[in-house]
Amino acid sequence: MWLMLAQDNDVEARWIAAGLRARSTRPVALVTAAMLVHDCRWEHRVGAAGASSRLVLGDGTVLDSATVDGVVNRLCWLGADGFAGASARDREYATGELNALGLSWLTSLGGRVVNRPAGNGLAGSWRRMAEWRGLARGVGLPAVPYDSDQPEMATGGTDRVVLVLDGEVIEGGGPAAPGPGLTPADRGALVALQRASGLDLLDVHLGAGERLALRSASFLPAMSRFGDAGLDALQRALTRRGAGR
Amino acid sequence: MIVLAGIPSEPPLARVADELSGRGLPFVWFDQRRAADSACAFRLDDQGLHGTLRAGDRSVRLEDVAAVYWRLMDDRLLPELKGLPADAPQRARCRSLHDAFMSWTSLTPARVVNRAAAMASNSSKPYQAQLIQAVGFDVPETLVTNDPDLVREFVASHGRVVYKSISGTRSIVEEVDDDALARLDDVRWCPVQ
Repeated sequence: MWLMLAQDNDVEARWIAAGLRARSTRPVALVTAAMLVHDCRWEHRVGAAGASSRLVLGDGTVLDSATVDGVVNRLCWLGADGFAGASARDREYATGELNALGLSWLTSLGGRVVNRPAGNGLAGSWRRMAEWRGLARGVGLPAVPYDSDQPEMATGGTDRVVLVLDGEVIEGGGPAAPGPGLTPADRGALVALQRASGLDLLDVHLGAGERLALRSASFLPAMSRFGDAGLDALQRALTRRGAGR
Repeated sequence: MIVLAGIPSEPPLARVADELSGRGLPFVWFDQRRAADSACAFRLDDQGLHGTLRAGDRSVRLEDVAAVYWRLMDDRLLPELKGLPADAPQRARCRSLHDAFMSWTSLTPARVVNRAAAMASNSSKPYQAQLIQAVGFDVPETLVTNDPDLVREFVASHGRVVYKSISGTRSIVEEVDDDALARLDDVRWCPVQ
């Protein structure tokens, strides 16, 4: 079984799940944050035998760590806003509890997950724009200057968006703009950025200018921008993960 | 130059400040209680990472900072902001200050004790247990569930069992006793460790 995990309003996730279903005979379950919070029987164990889990969703779908062999993870948080009868303080506490559980559960699924969670983000390490630019510079990918007094000025003007997945660079994300194509060195630096980030999948927003330079990056790529090329790459990534078990 | 960040009267920070003073080592405060009178600004460009930290009338160049020891409290809960609405300009400025400081600590080559990413595992006990186990330590048998029947089975199987928060908040450890078992149906609302 493949899982597509996402926030409730993530339309990209629905598009990805439909695309994966069209490409595989495996069942593909789209599981949202609200389902995990309000409509799920949780059983998560950690101990001498390692970590395991068995979740039963309200519709009867069983998410067993022994049978899940691929996960596309776009789950950013598990919120307790739906606990309308609780105080704001208790809802905040419950949100912390749910995220702590989600982090442990996703971690227990190990390398089957695209993108694996980190302590500072269920869908992988969350970074401020300054951190993305620092990381890029650290791996040899030019980055647009960052000024903490004017951080909002740095977001505009993206000329190109590329997808990087498991060491593969996929173009075609637009917005279209004339300019130089990606050189092998550019591609190498983008792959180095992906690996240094700890993410398996990210999109990178580049400003073309005189030279290609990173403006920002995200662990929640707009996959539909990349059409079949992105879905095909994602299917290959999930298939590799299933085969590696 | 060393930066101490947090509430200066907090005992661990105060002790470090005393020790630094005793050794004659230069340090500057990022004092959360004086956030309104502080500033942190930096730029990352082809010349590297550079900027200024200002506390009152004292400023230091960030590129001169060799080490940071920080114990920041949640800036939303600072006494100076108590009673202010969520969209108050003072809150926005305070948040922006902390955001800039935290961004800088994640980028600086200075020794930072500890970088935020390294401390993030504190937010989840079972996650941290998996990290601990992965490096070879034993961890206690743990169940996180919202199913009372699974809890009863777990207690029957292990005998003495404790429950506590999954996260790092309200982390009060209690032994599962008859009173706790009588309230067990409450776990249906939210999974419990």
